[in-house]
Amino acid sequence: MDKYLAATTKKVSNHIYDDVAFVILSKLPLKSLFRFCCVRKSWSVLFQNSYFMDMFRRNFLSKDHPYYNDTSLLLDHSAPWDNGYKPSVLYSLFGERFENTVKIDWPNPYQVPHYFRIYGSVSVNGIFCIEDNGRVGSFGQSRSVTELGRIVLWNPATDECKVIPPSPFAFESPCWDPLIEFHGFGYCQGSDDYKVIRHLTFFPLSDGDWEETWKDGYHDSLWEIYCLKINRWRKFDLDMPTQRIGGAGVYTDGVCHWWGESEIDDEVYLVSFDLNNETFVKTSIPSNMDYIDSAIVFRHLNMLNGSIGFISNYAETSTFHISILGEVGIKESWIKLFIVGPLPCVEHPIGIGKKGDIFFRKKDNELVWFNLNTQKIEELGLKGGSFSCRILIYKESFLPFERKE
Amino acid sequence: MAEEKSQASSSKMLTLKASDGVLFEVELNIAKEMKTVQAYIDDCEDIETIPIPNVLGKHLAIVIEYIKKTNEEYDAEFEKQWNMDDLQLLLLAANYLNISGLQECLCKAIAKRIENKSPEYVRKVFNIENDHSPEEEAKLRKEYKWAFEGVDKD
Repeated sequence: MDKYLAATTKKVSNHIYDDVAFVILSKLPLKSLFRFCCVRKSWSVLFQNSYFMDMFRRNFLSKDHPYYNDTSLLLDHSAPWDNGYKPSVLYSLFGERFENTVKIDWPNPYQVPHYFRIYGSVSVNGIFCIEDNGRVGSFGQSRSVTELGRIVLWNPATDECKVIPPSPFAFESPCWDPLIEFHGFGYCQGSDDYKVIRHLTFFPLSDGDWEETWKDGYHDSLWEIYCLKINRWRKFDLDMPTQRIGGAGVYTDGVCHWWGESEIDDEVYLVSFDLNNETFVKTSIPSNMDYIDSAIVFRHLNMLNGSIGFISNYAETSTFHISILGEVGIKESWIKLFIVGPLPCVEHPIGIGKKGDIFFRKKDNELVWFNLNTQKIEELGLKGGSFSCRILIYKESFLPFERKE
Repeated sequence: MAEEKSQASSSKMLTLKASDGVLFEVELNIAKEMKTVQAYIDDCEDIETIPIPNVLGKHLAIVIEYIKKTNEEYDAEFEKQWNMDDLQLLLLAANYLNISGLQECLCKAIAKRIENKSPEYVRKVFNIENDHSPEEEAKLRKEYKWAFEGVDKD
């Protein structure tokens, strides 16, 4: 009897064959998959195996990533430009197919209405960092020095507002005109503080006094950081690539990410700036990621179901290539996951919702969303201006962000 | 072996015979969750005892229990009781019997357990032979050095 049992145990105890192993592997994060390349030959070509990649993609899109827990989608919307300035309107998107929109009022910290726009693509503990574009009706008029580049921290759920004081560095010299570029807003776990990082570039005023302007030579560009706890801007010296035009930036747990262009070598990098220790990491893009024979219109940085990624827009083929990053700092860990299209009517992405809902603006200005699972496009019922609409991930919070001690 | 059968009014009972000869009496609707068994029944309507040659009695018992109790809560706790060997054998059983819910649950569980492990651990656990040449493996380890950081000690 024992011999019989032993024989059947041996027969039953098979090792897991590749087809079953692949099902297990397809649930693992990229870092594990790169490590397990060493296990055996067939596992070292997983990313070229279409059976495996189909499973990986399905799992990737369907998993519930904590980044999106209790979140809803907002749309920062500007109508198409025809005859003048179109202010931003903020909407909340509801419904399975986002068929319901509810307008959210901008805050009113000045007792007179202002134009606002939201920076970034996600709320931080329920707070947005918003750009103050001046008093309603004042568009085109010159603004006082303290008003330029003004930003406000705002919690839409409680309507708590904090107008951030102007930068003391931007207007130090009357002969130099500052270009103030927001780069990131986030929360530092270590210091329990909120920070904003901006870059200032200076241009000599054409009608300035020549001698005054060049008295001390060139006015160097600089980084500045604002900390909520001390309510002050501080100069910050770091040789870090600044943001290329057109990116909203991405934020994950105390780290601000943007597409950076290096002044030195003209290369494009993903720059990941850690707000806690105020250091950064560059991740370049492997040259073989792009089609050589098709010009890229741009790369749109975003989060795809919890992973940092980008959408490359190939004008000639009207296709969109979606890649994700396995590990920040490792250029070999970019994986191309999806090729969408051809979608000749689509102009550019405006953001990504949960689980593979990609929002686009079409060439006829219609805002649409594309589901990576069903591959269907649906209209939102709104027309938007070029590069002026954005989808935001919002997680409501009722906690006050300013502690009055 | 005369068994006292209480007359279950409507549900027909079926007997499953594991590879080591252990017999299990299950209700038809439970057995039907195993698509392989369902196919067997479809083919031979009058069958009362179905042989399950690939699955040991101890694992068949666990599978049947899973089918009876499966829900979100049960599934979350289910895998914690089993060691890696049992998980794999249960997965092979679930594959053979074609029970998709259990397959998914077990694949997820095994994935979670190996996520942070070394390639050596994975080879051992899955009983896989390394067919890389030493040079090939060294090259891969060097190229993906970053993927080995923070790995659990074996």
